[in-house]
Amino acid sequence: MNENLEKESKKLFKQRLQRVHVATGISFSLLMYVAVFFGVFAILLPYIQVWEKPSRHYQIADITKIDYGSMIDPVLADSDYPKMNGVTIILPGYMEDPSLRIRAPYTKTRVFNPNTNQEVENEDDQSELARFLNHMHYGRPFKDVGYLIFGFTAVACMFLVIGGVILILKIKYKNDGKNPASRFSKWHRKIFTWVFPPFIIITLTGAFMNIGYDGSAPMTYLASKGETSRIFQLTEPILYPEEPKIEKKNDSALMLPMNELIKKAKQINSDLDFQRIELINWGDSSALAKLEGYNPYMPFLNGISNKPSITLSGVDGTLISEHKVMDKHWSGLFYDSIFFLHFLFGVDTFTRLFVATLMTISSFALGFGVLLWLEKKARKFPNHIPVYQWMGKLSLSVMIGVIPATGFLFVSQWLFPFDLENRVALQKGLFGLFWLATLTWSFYRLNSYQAAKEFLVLGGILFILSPIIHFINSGFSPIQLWNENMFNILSVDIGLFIFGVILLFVGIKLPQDRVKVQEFWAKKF
Amino acid sequence: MKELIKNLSTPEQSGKRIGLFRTLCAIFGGLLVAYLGMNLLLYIIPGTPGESIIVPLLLNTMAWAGVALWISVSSTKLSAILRVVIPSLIFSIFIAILYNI
Repeated sequence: MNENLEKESKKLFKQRLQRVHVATGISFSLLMYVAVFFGVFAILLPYIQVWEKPSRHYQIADITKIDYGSMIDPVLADSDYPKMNGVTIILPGYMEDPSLRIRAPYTKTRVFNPNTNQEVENEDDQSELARFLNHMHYGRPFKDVGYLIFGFTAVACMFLVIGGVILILKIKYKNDGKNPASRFSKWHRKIFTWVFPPFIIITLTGAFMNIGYDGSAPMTYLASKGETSRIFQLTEPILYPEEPKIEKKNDSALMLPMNELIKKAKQINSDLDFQRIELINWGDSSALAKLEGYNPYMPFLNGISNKPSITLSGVDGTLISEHKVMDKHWSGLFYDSIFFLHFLFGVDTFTRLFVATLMTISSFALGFGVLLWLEKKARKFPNHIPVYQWMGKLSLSVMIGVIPATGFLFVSQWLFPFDLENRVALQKGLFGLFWLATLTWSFYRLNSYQAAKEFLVLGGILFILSPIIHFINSGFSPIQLWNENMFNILSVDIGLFIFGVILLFVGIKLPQDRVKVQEFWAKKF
Repeated sequence: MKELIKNLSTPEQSGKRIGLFRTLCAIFGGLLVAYLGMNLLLYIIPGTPGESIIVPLLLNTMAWAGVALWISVSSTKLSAILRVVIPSLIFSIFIAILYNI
């Protein structure tokens, strides 16, 4: 009797675990897919950001040979340049951007080509392709609503990962089933068993960024024992400590040239890749230059909140203070190590591509999960009846329809002239319209496989076209890009082309007939 | 009252329906338990308020997901409520004590 009861409760537990996994999974699947799909583009953001702008079409200069002074010093010498609120200089090579940028509040950012030391015209808000793809990744186009929805999706995602791991441990799944449903189930489990550790960390940080701060007020109140309920008041001194304010002496002194300062900083700590220089009270005898960087020998520990830096006096270059990676409080190091996988700041191309591949594979795993659910609905009908089901149509449009819509974004980037009025708004609007059109189309087509085929072929054509349009309209042929060492830009072109070819190939090969599709999944997969 | 408790503590025949009751317990109760648990963790981690708040703040959402899962698979409705109420009470008492130290 007792044994029976135990068996019964175990069965109920497994049933429930499976049921909550399926219900939560199918409710959030499409949002998760959107986040992962655009996330892959967000991983490649630095390269797309350079590819999209005519003002960045030159090689990354050799950092040992750049003459910083001849670009920066004239700007700083200009008495009309607003220096009282501090000046930030972003050095070439940071996030793959070949340009040198000088920024100050209330003025236009000045951009220089470090190969020629000439100023170039920045596109500012006329070119925001990479930015928009990144915004789509976390729901920013819908402001607070988008943040909340994507944040809850991330929580649901962690719920699914934890539940899924327990399911795999508790239930003995068989991998040798020969029908499509068991194939989908096999790959859904197999892929996620491999990628869940990075996946859950990335989702955790994603959830934190979108909803972690909402509702942190009570916790802050308790932590500070009633002193404050604003979280930043507590965390800022730990994560982003401010430099002590330096009184201006209100005189004018001769500043050290920029080349000297950078050379001095390099001597103090040669491990750092310098990314930016902050100038405080420049031109005054109390002037400071804070050189911030990234230490590539200590990945996971710096790069997000923890930025090792060297502060030098602007007058004679004496060392005022130095922050090393390990100077941070351990909670700050924990923060950085957990965010590192999500942001990938400062990592090399290989790591970026590796994580992008992992995420692409997990987007397939998500797709298999949805296919499994749909297949279970569809197999109640005999094979000669085309299945018309709303969730199938919606997922078709969201998961496959997003590909040609994104392809259109890439095509329009170099098709539209850069002086077009409301260029970005037009791009975003047409992208939305395109995506919605795929929704209509997938409901219009009776056969979902036919619609999928059309979307893939269309997406393939658009992705193949985008590098070609880029070659024509930017005036740089692939050979020229190669000869002039613009490998960053050329690799984006090649990547887009290969992606397009794969889409086209899959689109042409994909069977349309339901019987053949079933056969394909069961036998070849 | 007795009738109600008996009703709530009878296990369902099948686990294939989760039901609104468990869903609400899991989502809101899970949030409550996770949030209170993280508040307690905040007091356990040594350091200044700014230093000790970072880890609980980060882990809050994952704790929510975990606790929600734990509540949603409970065997009876009664145990779903108990899984919300008992940890919440324990955590609250500890937080109240530690807050006043």
